[in-house]
Amino acid sequence: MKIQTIPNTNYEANPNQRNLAGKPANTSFKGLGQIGKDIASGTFRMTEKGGFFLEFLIVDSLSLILPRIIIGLNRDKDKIGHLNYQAGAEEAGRELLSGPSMNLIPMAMASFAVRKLMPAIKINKDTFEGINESFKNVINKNTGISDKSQLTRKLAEQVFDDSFGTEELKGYRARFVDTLEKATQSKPRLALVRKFANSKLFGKTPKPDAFDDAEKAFNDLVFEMNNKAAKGMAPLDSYAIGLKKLDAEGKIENAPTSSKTFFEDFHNYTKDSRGMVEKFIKKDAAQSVEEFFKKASSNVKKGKIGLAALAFFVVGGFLLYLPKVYQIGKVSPAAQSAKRAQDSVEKEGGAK
Amino acid sequence: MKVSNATPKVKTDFKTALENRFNPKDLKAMGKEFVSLSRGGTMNRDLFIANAFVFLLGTRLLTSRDKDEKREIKIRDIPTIIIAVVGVPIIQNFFEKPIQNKLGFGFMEKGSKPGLIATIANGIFKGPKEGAVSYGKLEDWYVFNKEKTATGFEGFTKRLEDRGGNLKKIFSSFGGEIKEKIDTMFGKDKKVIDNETFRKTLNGSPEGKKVLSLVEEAFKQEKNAAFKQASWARTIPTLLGFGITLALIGLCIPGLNIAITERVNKKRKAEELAAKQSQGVQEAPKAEQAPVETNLIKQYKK
Repeated sequence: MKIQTIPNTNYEANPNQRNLAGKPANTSFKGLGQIGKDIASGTFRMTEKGGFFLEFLIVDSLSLILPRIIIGLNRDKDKIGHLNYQAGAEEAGRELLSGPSMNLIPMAMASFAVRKLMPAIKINKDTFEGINESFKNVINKNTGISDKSQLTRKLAEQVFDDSFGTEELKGYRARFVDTLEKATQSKPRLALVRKFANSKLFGKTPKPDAFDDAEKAFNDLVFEMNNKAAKGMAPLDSYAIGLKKLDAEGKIENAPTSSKTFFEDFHNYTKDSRGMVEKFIKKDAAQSVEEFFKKASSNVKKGKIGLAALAFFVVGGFLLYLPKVYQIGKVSPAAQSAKRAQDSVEKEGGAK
Repeated sequence: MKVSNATPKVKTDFKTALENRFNPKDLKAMGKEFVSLSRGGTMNRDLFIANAFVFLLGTRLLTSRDKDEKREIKIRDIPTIIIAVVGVPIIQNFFEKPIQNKLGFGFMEKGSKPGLIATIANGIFKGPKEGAVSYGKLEDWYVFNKEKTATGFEGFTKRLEDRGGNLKKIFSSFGGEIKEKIDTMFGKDKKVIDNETFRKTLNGSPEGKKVLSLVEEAFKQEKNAAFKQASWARTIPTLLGFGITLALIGLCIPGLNIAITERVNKKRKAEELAAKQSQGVQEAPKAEQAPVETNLIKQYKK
């Protein structure tokens, strides 16, 4: 007798056949391993924004601060009968104040210097030269303009022409200039702190910020432009802005930068009365354009070095003064510990 | 007849590897950019180390009371400061390429590899630096936005190839039906298949083209499996950087310090013991002579 097998075409023998309809075939089961990997990747993605400050804070806290506090608290615990709070507090004070402050102090000083004294300090050297070149082109083409907003607008146009001036991207020019001009609006203070306080972590809805929104729009626009202009292969850096500058011999050299930093750089470059645009307007009539830019570059360079050197010595002074801050009581925990050891030896000797 | 290899395999020893990574010109460049702050406002790593050496260690050395403390500062504090400041980037740098090659997911920037000095001194490296990209850029590379990418899916995958990715491994990471089809076409073994062969095979059959369209759909998702795997691959060198740095500072250096202290103490105790013993030997003959002398004197007086 021949038994005819009936093919089972009506039910899913293989659950993955569900995906035949063209839906993505990602595995729906996440092993613990994948969850662990996702958490690790997510954590490090968050710490990436913190830069050297956060990296050092993590290393310092885990390997120096925490262990030393624990050792301090447990110092002579058996002899005292409880945790050694003075030793623990002194270790905490010394380590917490010395490590993180070596970064926080320069960060605060830099923030003040950029905001109140010389905004161009924050701009990377090559990017600064690149914007200078574009500005020089603007001045040479538009002699006689003394209106700050007009010059700023022309600078934005020139940046577009210098970095994206190809035929196929022509249509983006107006949008680019409009979006970039918004960088001249004021930037709220302590933006990161504000964002953190209003973030979803505390159950609050993030407040819209005009500057941030404009920056995001600018980034999206540059992304779109770079992807549109790419040939053959998708662009390696979708946020690149290809500024040009002159090297020491006067040859044109690339000064690439990223839209992610450029928006803020443009803000600092054109900032109210301390920005390059108004400084140019107010410059001495006898001074030539070349001289003005040479002097500006030299001033910015001096400003950067001066700020760094000042920060170096302020941090140094703080570290020298620090012992007076964290030392509680006249006798150090080390001396107290030695005294306790001596007392216990005498006791034992006396008992004998 | 014995025929020796025309090009014998030369094992790169540690010294040569170090020479390759250390460029003396970098030192000069570092000197010029030494006094500078990073964009975030922190001191550059080399300036930070100098600051710590002068103000933290300097004062400790000046106020140290004895030889032991000075030795402890040299053995414990100097390496601790250096490793805490430059440990993570240097170790991360060391593991990036091997991990990218092993896992087959590209996550490194196109450029030239910076030397040891350039890794820690900001602003001296000219040109694109070869190193792990930011997560944002990684997202750009591994999430396909059809409307915005003029070069299409082919340009998208070309970029993955260009950045050192192995397409078979990347596509297989989606699992499910895609992985099954790839395994059927190329075999289940872990053999590495180069990108060109892989592409040709996929483009050459209807089954392969189906795989490509499924993969294209999969890449459109924001948190797709390939992006997650690439993020993980990119995280491993950083994780190793932190882990090894913490182990060195928290365990190895204190351990070394304790071992050296014990050795020094042992040596000292041995020296003290030897000194005591030699003193004891000198006293014994003196005691023997004394009674003889008094006897003679007494005998004389008699």
